[in-house]
Amino acid sequence: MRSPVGLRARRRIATALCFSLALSSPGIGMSARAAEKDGRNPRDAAAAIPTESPIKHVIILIGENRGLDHTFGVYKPKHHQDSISNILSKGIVNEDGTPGPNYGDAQQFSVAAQPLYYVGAPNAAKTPYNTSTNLMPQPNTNGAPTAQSATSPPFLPAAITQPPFPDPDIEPQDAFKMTKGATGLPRGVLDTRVPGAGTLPPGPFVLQGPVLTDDDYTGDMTHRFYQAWQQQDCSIANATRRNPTGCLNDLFAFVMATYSATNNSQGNEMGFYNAEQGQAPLLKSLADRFTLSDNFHQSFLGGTGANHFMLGTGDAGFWSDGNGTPTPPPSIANPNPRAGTVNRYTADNNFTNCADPAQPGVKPIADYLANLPYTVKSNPCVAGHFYMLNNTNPGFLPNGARAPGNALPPSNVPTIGDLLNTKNISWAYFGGAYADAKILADEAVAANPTNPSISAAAAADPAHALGIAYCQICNPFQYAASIMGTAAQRDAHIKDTTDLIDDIKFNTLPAVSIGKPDGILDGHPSSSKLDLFEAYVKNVLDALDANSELKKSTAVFVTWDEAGGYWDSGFVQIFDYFGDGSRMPLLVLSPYSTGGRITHSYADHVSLDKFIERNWFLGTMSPRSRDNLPNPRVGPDDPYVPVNMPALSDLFDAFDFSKGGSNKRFIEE
Amino acid sequence: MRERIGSAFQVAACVLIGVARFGSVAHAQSFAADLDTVKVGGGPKAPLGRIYVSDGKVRIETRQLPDGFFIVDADREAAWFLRPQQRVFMEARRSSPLTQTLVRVDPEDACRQWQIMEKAAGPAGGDGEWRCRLLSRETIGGRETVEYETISAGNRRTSIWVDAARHFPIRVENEDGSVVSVERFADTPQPASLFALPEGYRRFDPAELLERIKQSDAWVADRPKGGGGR
Repeated sequence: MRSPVGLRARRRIATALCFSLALSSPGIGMSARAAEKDGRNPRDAAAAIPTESPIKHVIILIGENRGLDHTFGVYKPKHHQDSISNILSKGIVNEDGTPGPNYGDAQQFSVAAQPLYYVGAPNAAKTPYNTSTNLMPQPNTNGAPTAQSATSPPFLPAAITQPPFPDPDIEPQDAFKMTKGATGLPRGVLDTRVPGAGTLPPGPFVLQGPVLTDDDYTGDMTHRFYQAWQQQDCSIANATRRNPTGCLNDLFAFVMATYSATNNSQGNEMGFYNAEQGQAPLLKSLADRFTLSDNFHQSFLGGTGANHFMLGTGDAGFWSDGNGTPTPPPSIANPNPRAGTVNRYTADNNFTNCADPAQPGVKPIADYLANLPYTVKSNPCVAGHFYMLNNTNPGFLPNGARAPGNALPPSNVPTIGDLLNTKNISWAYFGGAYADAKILADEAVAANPTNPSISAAAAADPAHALGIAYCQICNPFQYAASIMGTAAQRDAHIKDTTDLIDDIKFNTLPAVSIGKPDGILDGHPSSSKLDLFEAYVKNVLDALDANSELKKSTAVFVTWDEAGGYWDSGFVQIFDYFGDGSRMPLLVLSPYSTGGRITHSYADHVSLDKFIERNWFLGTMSPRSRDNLPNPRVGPDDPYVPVNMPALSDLFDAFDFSKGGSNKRFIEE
Repeated sequence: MRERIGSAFQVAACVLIGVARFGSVAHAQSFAADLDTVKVGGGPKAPLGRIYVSDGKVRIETRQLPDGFFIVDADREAAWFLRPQQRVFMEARRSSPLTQTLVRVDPEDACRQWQIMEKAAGPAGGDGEWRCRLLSRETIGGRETVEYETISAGNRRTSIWVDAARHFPIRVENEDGSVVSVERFADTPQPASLFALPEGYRRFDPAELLERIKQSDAWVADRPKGGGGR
């Protein structure tokens, strides 16, 4: 017997499931909290695991979309014996951020129309941008927030400093940063906060002025695979002894201005901060007292998803039937220019069969790889495989349910998590807002099992709406059937940032931790700010400073997923079809990496895997993963370019394990 | 004319009957109680939170959202979630299923009130049809109760027992075996301030947050139409 009212009802609800949520386990980290409450002091289990170095814990914190020159371009090493390769040391800019004597080394160009896609523009077709007849595209506000809002960052302050939205992953004293930084300008217009905007010369410009600081939101730019290849402008014809890959990095603005008819990115890629004049103060403070790499690179050309995937696997993902058999994806990239355009891509899609030179866009890159002055030993393109080049949702939702739509089917590419599991080494991925995202996923599946929508669930559940800021494509294990497709693995290894803080606090930190802030705090231009990522990092480091015993055996790597499309002046080593790309900062924080040193060994995301593998005696993730590459050897006059390319550092040389560790605080009091 | 008079009489009679009936439902009711849970898979009862009820309004505090509380005003068909530290409030919508169930009901027609609160919670996707029916009467712990069953749009069943005397649900059991129960009643007046929406609070709506996140790489459309974007 149905209620007449109920029979007519067409409301969409998941009452039973939601009640289950309300009754679900009390949460990760509760065992540690319970232990504290009971007066027990959990032993640091990871400390007992044999390691090559005194490091018993690694924490990798990954921000979004900042390059080395963009962040540390104007930075002077504190250690008197050290040097750094940046736009200040190269004379491209002066210490105040103005153009330096060698500004022309950063000259950007436009390119005349070509019949097909290219990665090394013909030199004869290039025209230097200038400030008059061929003005370089200028910075604009793109999608940055125009004003404070009651419901979205930057928030209208409800009290003096308190934003009316909680993000548990920064400390209360930093919450005011979530209320500041609106542009005060419309979206998609010239960013007049940048001094000289409108007539900027054709090179880097400083993001600092009377109304512009690192506490302000700025416009974003596109950062996708084929665009990034083209921006790097690599040609063996331009190779030199110090730049044997011939990548000139001189088409950054041009590609943004031409690849699409609707892209608003324009000239934002040439902006940089000035660490010597008060910007990025926490990052500078850490570099001053610990170790900074000036030769650490994004491992995959383009965006977030593929770079995190490479971090997690040393490899690229591919479209499959969900059981490891490659199949064609729903759409294939075609970067060849449309007829009658300068450089507008035909189909800016996410997958490519890079083993087939007849496929659009493939031959120019394959030809370039074949002509490199060293053998590309790990070219990973396999026949019939369509590789994921750009952001594509993982095949699992945050709760382990299968994702709908065009998500990448479950992957069987081996991960560093699988490798750690084989040796029973504890590890976890701590994603900001994951707990809320998991609830939203449960609600989405309950509401619509065949086509769950997390965004719809967020709209329906304001109290857990922060879950929409959890970055699914940042979690490489969310793609993996072996991890995300198994409840026990998922529960053991996929956690929230709050759990990372608890694990540090209660001595239950895994041996290997990867921390990713939510989309509000990750530092991504337009949606976040550099100082919000600093606040996220500070929250973690403060927790470590408060547990000195744990800190003695902990190394923290602070880096980014990619340079976000920001221009960089550094040498780029090419390993395979997928990368490397631009440099990003890597801060190495530990008792064994103090002194404000700069390390120059060539490294990328997979170097972090190599460190883990060496420290815990693990071997490599697979026979084809990039972690099989040897450590670099360098000549006496160039610490940046390995003489044994392709080569990739395991980062052990960023530490000095020969001496007892320092007890230096991470955060200065 | 006769038809009009007859019709008016019928309306008046219905109103009188309704008033009489409502009077029996809306008798003075003010209490506080604990919420307990039994998790999926069984085990002992564990504390979940506390509720306060007065004059048709319900305040729900749960451990699942320890930084705030819900206010349910069934007469206004509204439910709010408040975060005092941030001085912010928001529509509860489906942030907790408790707001759609723990409301004063007519023990003989509870589906009607739940239907109202279900509607007030807004859409959440799904293609099914919400259903509700009276199942049986039974005595639980010495209390006369009426058992109902609801079926969500996702085809998940929930059993709800309504205290016939108190006109309030006292037990909710899901098809996975998890349970919420209302325990340890304290029949005392509850201050109106417990159920008030304080002045000066800002209203939060997730729509604009969603738009901001769309500017980040955390966002990839659920169902992209093709390439493009980041």
